[in-house]
Amino acid sequence: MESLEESFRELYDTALQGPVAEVLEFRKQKRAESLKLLRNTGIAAVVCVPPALLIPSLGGFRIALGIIPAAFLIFSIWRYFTGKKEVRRLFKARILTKIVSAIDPELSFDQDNCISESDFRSTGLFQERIDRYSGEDCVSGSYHGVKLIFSEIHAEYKTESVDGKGHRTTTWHDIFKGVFLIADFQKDFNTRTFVVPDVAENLFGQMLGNFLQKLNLVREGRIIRMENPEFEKYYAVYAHDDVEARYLLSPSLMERMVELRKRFDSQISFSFTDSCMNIAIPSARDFFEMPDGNLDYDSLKRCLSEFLFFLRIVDELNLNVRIWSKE
Amino acid sequence: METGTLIVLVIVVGFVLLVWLGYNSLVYKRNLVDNAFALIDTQLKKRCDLIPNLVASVKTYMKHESSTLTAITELRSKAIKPDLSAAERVAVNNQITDAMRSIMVQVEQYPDLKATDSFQQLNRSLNEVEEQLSAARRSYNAAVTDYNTSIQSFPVNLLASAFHFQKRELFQIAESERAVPKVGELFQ
Repeated sequence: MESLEESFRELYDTALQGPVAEVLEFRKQKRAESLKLLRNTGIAAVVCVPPALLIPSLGGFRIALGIIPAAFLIFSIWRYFTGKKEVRRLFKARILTKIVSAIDPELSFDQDNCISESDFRSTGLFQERIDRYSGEDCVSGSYHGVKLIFSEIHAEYKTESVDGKGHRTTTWHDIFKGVFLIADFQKDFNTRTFVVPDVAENLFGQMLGNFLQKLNLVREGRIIRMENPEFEKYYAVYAHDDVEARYLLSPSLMERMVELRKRFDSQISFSFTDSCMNIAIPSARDFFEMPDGNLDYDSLKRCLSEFLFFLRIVDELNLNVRIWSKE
Repeated sequence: METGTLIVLVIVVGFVLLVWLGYNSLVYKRNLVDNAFALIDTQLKKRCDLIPNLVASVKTYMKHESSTLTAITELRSKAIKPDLSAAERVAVNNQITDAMRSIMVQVEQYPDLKATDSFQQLNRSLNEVEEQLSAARRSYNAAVTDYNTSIQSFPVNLLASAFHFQKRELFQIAESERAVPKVGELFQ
């Protein structure tokens, strides 16, 4: 069996070098356009600014002369950033789509798509009202036989305050920013179960935290204590049916979830709803982007690693093992 | 009303209230334990129902191991008797677990049998029941631990002893279950 290194080398040699050349050529073209615009801005400044400053008799026309190079400059900056965005879009369309399909032909990548707001909401992981929702870079399809979808998501809510002078200020707060993954779970279940970071016990200590969790003023379901102490250190489980929660969270799955928590070093949350396992991995980083600098073999391999970083969850949680009644 | 009488009244009402709450809490926890055991029982019955199918699907291949099949059939007959105590039921079912694992290990020698659709379907059902059983057992043990902790903690232990709330035993899995590989590994 070919190693990942060998198969990626083959992909790079046979299918990626052409698109890389195309993206580099396009980037070169966009950079040349930006430079040309910048040069024109310089010429406009040389032609317009001295008369505007030195010839008072021009009157109101002096302002117009000053505006011309400023307009050139603004247009140059705007073109620079839109050009950069176009290059990034071409990179994703030509190269990332190929990398994702090479990982598993059943997978596809869509830079303009993301998990829908209704799907995100129905996972029940975040209770806050969503006022602004966006996302990109969606991978969907089937990986090692497991149907899944994941994308970057940014969900926010807003608060408004009015100061003494009546000025209204709107502040945006993150509900979730990071990568959200929904994968088909290998067991059938009927109720909803949530595995969330154990904030209460970590913040208030075991006694008070435990009391607050039992009160459970925030989440649906009731707190369920699991028998794995390390799992309990990181996570709190809320469920409607404790037997079903333990059926879903087998001892081995709990161990794997602890390992996943350590690998990502992030406050990961899970929920089991509508026959799926939903995983929220918060991160401030912008994933699946075009690398800066050269698009050589190593930088493209890093792009591959980013996708595998999330897809490996399927293997690590054994979601592809189908030994139960659900097929 | 005199202050002394009032204080006595408050203490008496407080005491009655504590006894009432403590007793109800113990009854609630004991019922949870009983309910959790009933769930284990349901899964054990489900597993027993699968034994005839298991025997039927493997007997044409496992002619040399007919004694194992006879033994598991007899164990099933024992397990479904209605007059078994909880401890006896657990013991018989632990023996069934051993016998089923032994059959599954022997199935390894018959790749044709493993490949049949009916056996694969049966194996999936068995895995499902085993997983459900494991979950029910873990829930039972969690309920028992909570109940036992309550009846041993002061001052509820005084109440528990006065009203004869007995300590419950945890559901221990058979020793062989810890050592023998899971049947799910047959698929790998």
